[in-house]
Formats: sequence, C-alpha cells, structure tokens
Amino acid sequence: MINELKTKNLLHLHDVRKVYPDKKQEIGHKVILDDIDLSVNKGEFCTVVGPSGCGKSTLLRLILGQEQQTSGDITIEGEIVGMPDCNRGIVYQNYSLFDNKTVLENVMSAYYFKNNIFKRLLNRKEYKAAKDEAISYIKKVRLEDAMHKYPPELSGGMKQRAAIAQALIAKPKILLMDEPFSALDPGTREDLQLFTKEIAEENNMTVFFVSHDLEEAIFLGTRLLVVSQYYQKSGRSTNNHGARIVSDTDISMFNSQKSKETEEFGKKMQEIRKIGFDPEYLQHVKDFDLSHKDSFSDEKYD
Amino acid sequence: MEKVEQTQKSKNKNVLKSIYSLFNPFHLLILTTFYYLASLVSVIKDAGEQNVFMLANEVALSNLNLLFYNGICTLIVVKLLFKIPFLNKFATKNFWGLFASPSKPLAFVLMFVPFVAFVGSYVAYSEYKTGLEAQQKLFPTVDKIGSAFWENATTPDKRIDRVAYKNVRNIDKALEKAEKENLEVVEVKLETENGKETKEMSVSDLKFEKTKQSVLASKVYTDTKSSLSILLTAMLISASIALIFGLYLGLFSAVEKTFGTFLVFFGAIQPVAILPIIMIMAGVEEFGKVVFIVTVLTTTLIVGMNREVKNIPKQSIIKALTLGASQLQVIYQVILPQVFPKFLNIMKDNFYLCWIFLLASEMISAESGLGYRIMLFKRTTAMDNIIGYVIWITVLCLVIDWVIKKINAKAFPWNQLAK
Repeated sequence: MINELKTKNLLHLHDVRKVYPDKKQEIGHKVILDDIDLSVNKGEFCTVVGPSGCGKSTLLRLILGQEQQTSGDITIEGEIVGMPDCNRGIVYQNYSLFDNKTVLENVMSAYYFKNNIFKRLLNRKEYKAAKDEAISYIKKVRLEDAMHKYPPELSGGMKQRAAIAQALIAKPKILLMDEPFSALDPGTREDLQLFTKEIAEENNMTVFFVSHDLEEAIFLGTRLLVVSQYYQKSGRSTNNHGARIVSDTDISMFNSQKSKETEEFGKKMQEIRKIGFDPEYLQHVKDFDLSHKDSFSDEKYD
Repeated sequence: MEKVEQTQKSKNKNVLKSIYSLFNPFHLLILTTFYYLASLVSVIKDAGEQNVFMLANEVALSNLNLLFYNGICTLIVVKLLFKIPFLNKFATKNFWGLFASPSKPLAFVLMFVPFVAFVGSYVAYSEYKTGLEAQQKLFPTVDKIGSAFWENATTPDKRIDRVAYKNVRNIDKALEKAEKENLEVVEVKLETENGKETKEMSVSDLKFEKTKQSVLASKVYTDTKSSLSILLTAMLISASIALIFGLYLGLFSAVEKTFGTFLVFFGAIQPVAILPIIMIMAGVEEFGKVVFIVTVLTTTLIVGMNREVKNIPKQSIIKALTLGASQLQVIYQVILPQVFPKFLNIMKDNFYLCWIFLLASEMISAESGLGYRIMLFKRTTAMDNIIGYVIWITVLCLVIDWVIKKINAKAFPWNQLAK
C-alpha cells in the first residue's frame, strides 16, 4: 500500500524525523518532527497549519532540501531529494528578491540561470520569448508599472508579488510557500491568495503552503494538514516527542468565496483549533482524523 | 513682593543651572578649547624666540581658576541671550537642540566656519610672525606655501631629470633671445631620445615644450606618479585576491574552518613591525613597497569581504538554486554582484590605511615618492614645501575617495536605494 502510494504520488515522506541538538536542555536534543508520513498527489494544494514553533517551517525546509532529515526518506517522483534544485520553487515570508536586479530581471532570472550570455546572444528568438513570458507574468501580478524598478524601491506587497511571479515562471513541480502573505495588508493579501490559487490550478501545480492563519488555510487549500505536538501516545509517556500530522483532511468543498460565511466553515475552524492548537486537548495517536485518500500512517495499517 | 521673590528665585535657579551645565562634557570641551586659545593669544606677543605652545600651556595651567569663573560667566551670558524670544526661537529651530536642524543656507555657512577659523587664524599668525622676523621658517605665509608648491610643480629638478633640466635652460635662453630680437622662430639646442640636435622652433611651440618638459621633470609630478603607481598596483592586487578569497571564505564553511583562525592571527601582526622583514626579503624598491602594502591590506580586505558575504541572507542562495542556478552561478552571478559595491566601500575606507603604509615605507627608504620628499624637506626645515605637499596629498586622498564614491553611485544605483 505504501509503496503503491510512493510510485503513484509526486511527493512522498515516510517516517521522517528531525532532531536538533540542544545543549541547553538536559535531555540532550530536541525532537522537532516525529514520524511524519505524507504523500501528496500532483495538483494538490496542501495547506499546513499548526501552533507556532511546532515545525511547519522545518517540514517545508526538509522538502526543500535546505535542511537534512535525521531519519526517514523524502522522495519526489520516487527519487530521494538532495540539495535545492529547480524541481522545487520557494516563496519566503520576507521577499527574497535579488536586490541588484530589476523586477523584470528578477522574474527572468530562471531563464538567465539556464542560459548563459553566449546562448542568450546567439538565440535571440528564445530570449525574446522568455522576455515576453516574463512580461506576461508581471502583468498578471499587476507590476507592469514597476517593471524596471529595483526591489528596494518597492513596497512589501509589490515585492511579494514579484517573488511569486519569479517562483512561478520557473514552473517547479512543487511550489513551497512559507507564510508568504503574513506580512501584507488584508487587501493585497486577498488579491494574492486568489492569484496564487488561479495560477496553481491553471498549471496543475502542487503547492505546499505553510500558514499561521486558519481561515486562509481552509479557504485556499484542497487538503489541510495540521501539524502539532499536542497529542498523546500509548506506551511512552515522555514530553519530548516531536510534532506529527494530527489531521489530514480533504477541504476542497470550502474553496469558494461564499463558503467562508457558512456554518461548516466555522465548525471546521473550531475543530482544527481544538485538535491542533489547544495544549489541554491531547488526542490519542489512533484517533487522528486522517480521512484524506492519500494519507497513511503506520498506526492506520496496523 | 511675592513676584520679586519669585524672580529672585528664578535668577538663582539660572545661576545654578549654569554651574551645572559647566559639567556638561560638551560645554567643558568647548570652554577649555576657548580658554586655551585665549592663553595662546595672550602669550603670542611676547613669545619671541620661545615656543608659543609651551608658554601657552604654562599660562593656562597657572590660571586654571579663570577657566571656572569665565566659564560660568560665559554660560550665564549665553543663557540670558537665549531668553530673548527672537534668538531663542531661531536657535531652537535652526541651531541648537535635538530637534533643531539648520536651514540650507545656514548649513552652508556653518560648514565654512571651522575652515575660516582654522585657516584664518593660521594666516593671521603667520603674517604676524613674519612681520616680527622676515626670515622665520616655522610659520610660512600662505603665498610662500603657494609659490613653493608652484615651484615644485613647474620647475624641472636637476636630480630627477638632468636632460630636461638642461633643455629647459636652453629653451629659456632661446626665449630670452627671441624677446630681445623680436623673432618669431628661434634656434634651440635640444637633447632628445635621438641624441643632441639643433632645431628651429616657433615661440609658442617653445613655450609649450618648456611647460611640458618642466612639469614632467618636476618634483610633484614624479613623486605623485611613483607613489600613486605603487598605491594603485598594490590596491588592485590585494583587491582581486581579497574579492575571490573573501567570497569563498564567506560561502564555504570548510574554507573558513581552515583559514579563519589563521587570518585572525595574521591580521593581528603589526604592519610596521614586519616592514624590516619585507625590506630584507623583497628589497626597498617599488616592488618591496607593493609587497608590503599587499601583505598588510589583503587580510583586512578579506575580513571585510567575508563579513559582507555573510550579511547576504541565505534565502537568496536557496532561491537561486531553486531557480536552476549551479553552484558557480550562485557564487559569481548571485553573491558577487550583490557584494561588489559593498566591497568598493570597504576599499574606500581602507585607502587611508594604504596611504599610511605607503608614506611610512617611503619615509624610511626611497628614491622618489611623496613621503620621501616630505622627509627630505624636513632636513632643511622647509615648512612651506612640507605644508604644500601635505595639502597635495590630502587633495589626492579626497579625489580618490570621491571617484570611488561616484563609480559606486553610477554603476550600482540599487545599492544607494537599499540604504
């Protein structure tokens, strides 16, 4: 069953554990993530929520290859992931644009990296096409007025829009977003949410979206992952256990603008808040709501 | 009656406040400076052959109580002046306090105040001193400094270029002859690369030839040329080493683990202490000086470059990798362009260091160069020449500074925006 998922799905994590050495604690080390089992199909918009410090961003960095897991394996299309490469795109919370390039050059940087200056000069047609594509992306994020400006001249929202265009144009297999909208004002935020969703659906892109805003997560995603350290295991009773995926559900029914006002939406939010964010409420490992069709865990098949 | 008491109280308060503000370090600094200057002025007249500064020291120290009394009086006067509404308003708005910012014309005037004070007092004192004793050498007047520098810059030096010296003398003779006999074209004996020859040249051509030969054989030109060529060669070599090495040091942990501690140790070696070693190993010619400056400067530049590379967020590297960049592209297309203007700034800051090393090494041993020439002037106490050279070096420093700043602003506009 697990192997079947591994070959069928795009991204597959099995028994992933991440431990940080911590000299201050007497325990010796701190477990961040414990037994993460996850399989994500192509075209899925996964949103990840959880209490702050639970390891959502760590999980994202593991998939990105920025950090290495302590044990377990992460595969993309059956291949073990290594250093960051063009299979995975990333949008950070604080806009990681290249300051020395204009917005257009920033958006075109994927093309620049793949074609050195000789190729660019020899193949003018391809260059022209790449430029046109970049301009069309810039128009989509409505930055055409700021096309030839440098990032330090732009506002926060504009920078983030440019960063999203820059990541999208490389057409990665998986787009990772680490709280991309949390530093923006509500108006820009809503705009960008819709834009990201639209582009992801258009290109059948797999998105891995870390957020600390429940409403945003439920509204945006087709699949909601709750990562939390507030759960209990039978047998061992130590507090030094890492976060796990405590809930993995299909939320594609909440994806319209209207659904935000419905009763189910509120109920869902209450439920997630209880199982994910309440330190008093400790769910047992066996009671996790892993109802999504791709979800699996060792306990589920025991 | 009450009112009178109140005003009496507030007056006392004012005096107290003035006494307190005497202990404000800034007030103390300014008052001491003025006090010392006053002592200086009081002794200048009767100084004669004695050292003015020593006398001023004695006077200042023996009348230290005056500093206190005069200080309080001055502060009270200033406080009272500030009571005048017009002055108070002007000062708090334009001049004094945390929230005062001078208007543009006032700022322009203020900029010149220290210059005028410094230069003006020098001019006054040098004129006064020369009036007392026409032959005095220690405080040359401004026109003396100017004419000495002009002579250094436009007359050929016998020791630097014998041929040019002779040629200029011949041209002078020919010009004299032309003036006497009212000629348009004269014969001159000139020694060129091809050997001695006698040429017929027009007066205007001769004048041009004279200026050219004298400037090229002058002290200022040859010294500046030799000093700047050493300076710029050394700067270029250590900059290219530091740029590449610093890049790898900042990005590759293994390189830093290997060389980091060594660099800390190497950077702590005192430059002037190893000067003899380098003189023995590399000689005292230009090559030795270049080696000296490169040895000392490279470490500083590498450390600065390393810091700047570390300041670039790691996200930037990851982002480039996800956009398909290779490791080499990350180093040379992502990090290097972002660090380069900052590196230029580091170089600008370290140019002063460079000058120190250059002048020091030239003063110890050289055959030409600005530092060497100053040391030579010192032997004959030629203050006019020395001051002219000091101003010339300062101007060179400022020009190089300005050029790097301009390059930075023109070539990397985004770097200015980031601030």
